[in-house]
Amino acid sequence: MSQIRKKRREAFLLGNEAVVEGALAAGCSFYAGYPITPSTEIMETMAKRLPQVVDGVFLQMEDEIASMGAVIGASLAGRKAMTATSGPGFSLMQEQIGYAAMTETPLVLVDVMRGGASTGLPTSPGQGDVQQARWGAHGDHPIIVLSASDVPECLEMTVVAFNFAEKYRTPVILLLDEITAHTREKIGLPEPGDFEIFSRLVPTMPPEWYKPYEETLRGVPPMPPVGTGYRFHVTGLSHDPLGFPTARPEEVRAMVERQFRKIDRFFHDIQLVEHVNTDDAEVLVIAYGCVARSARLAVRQAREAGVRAGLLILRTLYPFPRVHAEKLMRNCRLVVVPELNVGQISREVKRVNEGYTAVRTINRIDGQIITPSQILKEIA
Amino acid sequence: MNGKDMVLARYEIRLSGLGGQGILTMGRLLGQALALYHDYHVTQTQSYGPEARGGASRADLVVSSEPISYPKTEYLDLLVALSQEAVASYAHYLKPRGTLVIDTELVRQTPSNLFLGLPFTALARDTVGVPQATNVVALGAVTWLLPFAKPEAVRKSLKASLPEKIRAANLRAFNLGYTEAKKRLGAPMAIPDATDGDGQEEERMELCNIMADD
Repeated sequence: MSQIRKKRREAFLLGNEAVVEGALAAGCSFYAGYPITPSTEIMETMAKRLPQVVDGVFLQMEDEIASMGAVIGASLAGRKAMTATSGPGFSLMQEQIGYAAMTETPLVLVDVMRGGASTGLPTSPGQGDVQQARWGAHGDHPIIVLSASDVPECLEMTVVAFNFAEKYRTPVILLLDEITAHTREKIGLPEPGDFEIFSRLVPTMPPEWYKPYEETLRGVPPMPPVGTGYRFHVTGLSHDPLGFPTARPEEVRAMVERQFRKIDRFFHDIQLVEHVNTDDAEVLVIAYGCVARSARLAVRQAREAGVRAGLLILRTLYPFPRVHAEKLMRNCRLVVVPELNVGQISREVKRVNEGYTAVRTINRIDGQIITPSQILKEIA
Repeated sequence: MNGKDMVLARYEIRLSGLGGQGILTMGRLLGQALALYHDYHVTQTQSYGPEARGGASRADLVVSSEPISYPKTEYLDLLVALSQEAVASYAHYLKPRGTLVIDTELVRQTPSNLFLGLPFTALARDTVGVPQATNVVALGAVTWLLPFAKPEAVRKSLKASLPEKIRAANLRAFNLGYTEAKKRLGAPMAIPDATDGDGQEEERMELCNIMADD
C-alpha cells in the first residue's frame, strides 16, 4: 500500500490560537463567551473559524455568567461546547461550573491566568487560579483540571480536555497562563486521524426505559441530546436516577458517590505528567505551565553542573497526579516547587509528601515569570 | 552575504517601542519568517501595557537551532528600540557584544556611542508615504542586519499575513528599510560562535543572586 504523505501544514501560532485548533480538531461546534485579556484571542479566532465549521455556532454573550449558561445549554443539546476567560470572568463562572458538575454536563472551560486577585494585572502572567479551579464552585464535586506549557501542548491538551469531558460527563478546566497563551511558536496543524476523539455515549434503549442518572458499571450514564424523544429532567438540586429532586439520604449519597467514582476509578487515564530525567533524580522539580519551561532549562543546566536533577511536569493538576509524584518523592532528597502564586500546587505536593522529603517552594507574585537561574539557584 | 544557514545556540531579539507602533506585528512577521521559512525554532513572546496606544510595548524572540525551553529573553543579542523610553528601559539587557538599533528621529539619547540608527518613522512617512509602515521599514533593516535572515523569506511572511489592500505599500516599506540599512549601516552583524558561550556566566549568576535577594 503506497500512500503519499502530504507535508504537514505548519503555522506560527499563539497558544490561544492553538487552543482553537485543538478544539476544532476535537469536534467543538459551539462557543459562547465574553472577551477578556489575556484570553481574547481564543474568542477572536473562534469567531473567525466556527462559521467555517458545519453547524458551527459562535455567540458573544453579555457577560461570563450568560456565557457559561449558553455553553451548558448547548452541551445538553448535544454539542461539544466551550468557553474561555481569565481571572475575574472565571470567578463569575463558578456557580455554573458547580451546576455543570451536578448535572454532569460535559464542557471545556479555558482559564488563561493573569496576575493578582480581582482585576489584578491584566497583561501579566500568574498561576493563582489553581485552587479555585478545583474548589471554586461550592459543595463537594468532582472536576478535572489540566494545564499546558507550550504551544503544541495547548493544542494537545485542548483535545484531551474535550475527550475527558465527553468520556466522563464532567466540566473540564484547562488552565493556561499569560505567557503560554501569548507565546508564538511553530506547530504542525492537526489532520483528521491525528488524535483519538471521544464522544459521549447516547442511550440506545427505547425512550420509555431511559433513566438519565442510572447507575452504570462505569458510573457515567449515557446522555441524549434534548429533543430526541428521551425525557430528561435537568436540575441543580440533588436528584434521583430519574433526574427529579430528592432529599432521601440513600439516594443523595448514591448520586454523590457515583459522581466521584466515575473520575476516581480512572486515575490512570486522567493523571497525565511528563518525566524529564527523573529516573535517577535526587533533586526533583515539580512544575506546570510556563514555569515548567524555565524548569526544563534549569534542570538541564544543573545536570551539566553535575547535580542529578529531574523534572516532573504536571499536565493534569486535579485529580493531583499522586501516583507519579509520590513514588519519585520517596527516592529524592529535595523537592522544589516553583510557581507563580503564594503556594497552591505546593500544598498538594506537601500533602502527598507526608513529611518524607524536604519541600522547597519558589513563589513569585509580581507578574514576572520565574527564571531558569532562580530555579537553578535552589537546586544546585 | 545575507541569508546564510547558520547554527544558532540561542539568539535573543527584543523589539520595543510604544503601543500603536506595530511592535507586536513586527515580531510576528519576523518570527513567522524564521520559524516557517527558515526552519529555526522560534518562540515569540510579548509584553504590553493595559492601554491600547502609547504604553510600552515589546516583542521578544528567541531563535535557535535546538528546541527552546525557556521562551523569554534574558540577555539580548539585538535590541530594536523605537522610543526613548524603550532605550532607557532595555539597553542594559544587551550582551556586551549585542547590537542596539534605534529610530534616530524618536530617540534623543543612547547609553553609548555604539549603536546603529535610521530614521524609520521619517522614512515611512516621507518616502513610503504611509506612517503606519514604520515597523515594516524597521523590519527591512533588521532583516539586513541579521546574517541568517533571508529577505525572500521575510517577504513571504509579509505576503502571507497582510491583507491584499496594504500589501504593496508594505513590500515597498520593507525594501526601503532593507536597502537603506545596506547603504548606511554597513555589513550584517557578526554572530558569536555557539561553542564559545557568551562570556556571561558569572554576570548571570550574580544577577540571579541580586534578584533572589530583592
